[in-house]
Amino acid sequence: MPDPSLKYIARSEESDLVARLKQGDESAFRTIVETRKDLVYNTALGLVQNAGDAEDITQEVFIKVYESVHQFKGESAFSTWLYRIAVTKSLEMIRNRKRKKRFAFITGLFGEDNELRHDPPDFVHPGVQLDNRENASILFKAIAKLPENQRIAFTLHKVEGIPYQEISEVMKISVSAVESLIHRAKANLRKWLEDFYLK
Amino acid sequence: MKSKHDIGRQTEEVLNCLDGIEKAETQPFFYTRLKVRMEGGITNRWNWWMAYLSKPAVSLSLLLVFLMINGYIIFNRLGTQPEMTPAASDYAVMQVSYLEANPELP
Repeated sequence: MPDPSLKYIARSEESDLVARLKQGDESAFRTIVETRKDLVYNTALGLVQNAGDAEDITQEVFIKVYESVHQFKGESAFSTWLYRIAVTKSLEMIRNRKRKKRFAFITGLFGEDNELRHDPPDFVHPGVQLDNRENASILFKAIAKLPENQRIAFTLHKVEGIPYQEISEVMKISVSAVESLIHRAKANLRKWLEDFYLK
Repeated sequence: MKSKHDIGRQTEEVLNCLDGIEKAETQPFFYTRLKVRMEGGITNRWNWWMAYLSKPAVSLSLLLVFLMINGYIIFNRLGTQPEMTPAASDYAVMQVSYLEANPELP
């Protein structure tokens, strides 16, 4: 049984685990899950801003890893591959939620007013310091309004703490494009927040 | 009303509030929950297919495709000349027996 306190594993050990997983070794899969689950969960939570949805996504990511580990060629780091799956699954969830919200609006027109059911409550990331909670809640509300690519780049950098280089590998864009996305995200957030405080 | 300076200060405070954020962690026994979900995967997949096929949009589309194929086949049949059926006499190759040819026997 893997040591649950083991948070990080070396790159060489990681490739060994991946090789064992490709051969169907369940203990390798368990070690990968135990050492990488928080990375996936934190990324998903930052993007979907809901603990239950983030847990669902984390499970889906590891199911995907188990089913398609043979597609992982080792061209990028294993964590980059995990981030990429987590981001894709999170975006699917966000789009699905938007679709449901739109549908709720249509049904609302015909009398079944379930708009409120689809409006998520204010989100507070559990890792935020207590005295910053109110500000963080406002910021996450603003982040949710950003265009998809800006939202991904900003969240990966600010919430997950990934350097620009790795974000560029996850998003398959250049480092300068990542810098530009984060710069525009900050500008949009600043504008949204100024409007928010002016009201 | 808030001054521009106050708004600018508040905005910067909010923008920087994620500095030093700690990473969120999954609830305990995540692997157990994951295994339960994976083991129920086959049933889930079957249920998913059934649910998918029973959606009105999907089932109506399938019905429409079926009707279109039927229509196409019928339309093609109507467009072509019917095959000539051989005259019944062509099949009359039986040898007429002596008794049939002369029914009035003495």
